[in-house]
Amino acid sequence: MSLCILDIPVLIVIGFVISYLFAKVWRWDYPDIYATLSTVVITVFWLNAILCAFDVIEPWGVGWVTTEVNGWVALFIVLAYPLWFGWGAERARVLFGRAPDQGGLLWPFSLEEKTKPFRPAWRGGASKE
Amino acid sequence: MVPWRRATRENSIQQDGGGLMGKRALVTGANGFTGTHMVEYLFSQGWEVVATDIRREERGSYYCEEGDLHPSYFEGYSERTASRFVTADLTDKESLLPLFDQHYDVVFHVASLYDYFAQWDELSRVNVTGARNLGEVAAEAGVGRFILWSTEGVYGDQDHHSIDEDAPHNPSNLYCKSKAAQEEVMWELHAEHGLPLTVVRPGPIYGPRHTYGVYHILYALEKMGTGVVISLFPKKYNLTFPSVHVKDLTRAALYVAERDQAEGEAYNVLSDCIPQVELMEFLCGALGMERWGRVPVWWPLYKAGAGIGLKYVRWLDRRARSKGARPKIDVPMIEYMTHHYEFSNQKIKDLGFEFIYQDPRRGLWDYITWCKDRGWL
Repeated sequence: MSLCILDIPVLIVIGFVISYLFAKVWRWDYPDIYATLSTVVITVFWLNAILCAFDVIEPWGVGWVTTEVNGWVALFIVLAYPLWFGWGAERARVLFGRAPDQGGLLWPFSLEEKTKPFRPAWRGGASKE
Repeated sequence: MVPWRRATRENSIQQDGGGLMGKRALVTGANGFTGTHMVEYLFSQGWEVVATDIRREERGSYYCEEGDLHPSYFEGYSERTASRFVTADLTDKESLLPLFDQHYDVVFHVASLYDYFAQWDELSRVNVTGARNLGEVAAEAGVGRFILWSTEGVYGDQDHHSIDEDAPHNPSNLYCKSKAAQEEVMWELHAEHGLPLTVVRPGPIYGPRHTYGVYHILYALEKMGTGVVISLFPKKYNLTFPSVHVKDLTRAALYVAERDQAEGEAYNVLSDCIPQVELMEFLCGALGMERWGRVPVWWPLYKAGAGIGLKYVRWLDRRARSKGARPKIDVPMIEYMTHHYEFSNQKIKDLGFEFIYQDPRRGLWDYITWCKDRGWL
């Protein structure tokens, strides 16, 4: 079965970017958007993998990084897509924070304060201000 | 005989339900975090309190006060609970004289320039010269007792030993050096002018209204959003973290003030020290952090990493100064978190004092809840 080995790094990068945007921009106003986007992305990649497996389409990157793998191994790799996506997403949260009021592990290493103020716990969560 | 009891008896003071009335105290730094608590506690114990502090506009040049988020000057608290509020500046001896137109059973010298970013000239002027001014006037006025607020920081890093009050002073930063110098000056006044001195050396203080020091550890954790709990091995190198709830500190200050045998003595005032790794795990949980983990690190590797980290933070500090800004976390705060500070509170326990928050986790839980209710964390 043909798989594009670049699927995994691309998933990591997409997870990283979506997670960053969610934490910094969308989290308080659109609390469900991360789940929606991640579902869409994983669905697209899974769909692509299934279509490739049934030879409906050719894997992207043919002649460059496409790789032939045993069917069961390919299944294992494809099922692990959400984990790779999540791994990339978590790296963004660790580095840049999980919400607009956080700055991640990089926060102490800069002089300028770019994060928003905390909100009182009784107004916390995902509700709008 | 406790001095204030002698004084109140001479003044034919009334009795109220078995308690003595008419005990009078002077509290300096009364509009600061600890000062407001000291005034409130004395008031609750039936003391007549004269509160003093400088004006907010004079204080602004010293303190890192960032509006509502990190206030360090609390107008209204002392005015509500003190029987009299007098504006005075420690660095101006003349301005202190009107404070002593009446007898004080106890002077609580809480005021201090507590700012790790401040330069030596300012620190020395407020903490050393200011304390000397107050001590001289108080000794001349014949106060019953003088309680000086020092800090555990005067001991510095003592290489993995629990430190009692007899340990030599080895302060590691300018603020702690100014407090060590302050103590020296006051002990001189005690020896040469008979100032009835007792020194309290609190660990890092926290509690309602606290916004500088322990708060910054919580603030940084919350801002980072991910907790990294470093567990050192071999285990004997695990660091400890001292702290004290302001409620315990004010109680302890009054407790030693009321005891004859405490005159001429110094006391460490802090909850039992707990390992930093346990404290950090507790804080991550109490702050409700979504993700945190324990990372085992070999001690020499940690020392090397901490050394590099400190160098970077010092560089950040210099860069901030050159830009007229200040870093998010002051250098000494990082030093505290990367060195071993373990102090014994046995001496004050032997005096009979009992802490409400012997385990700091209880106090920190209360404080974190207080901060979260206000959007400070």
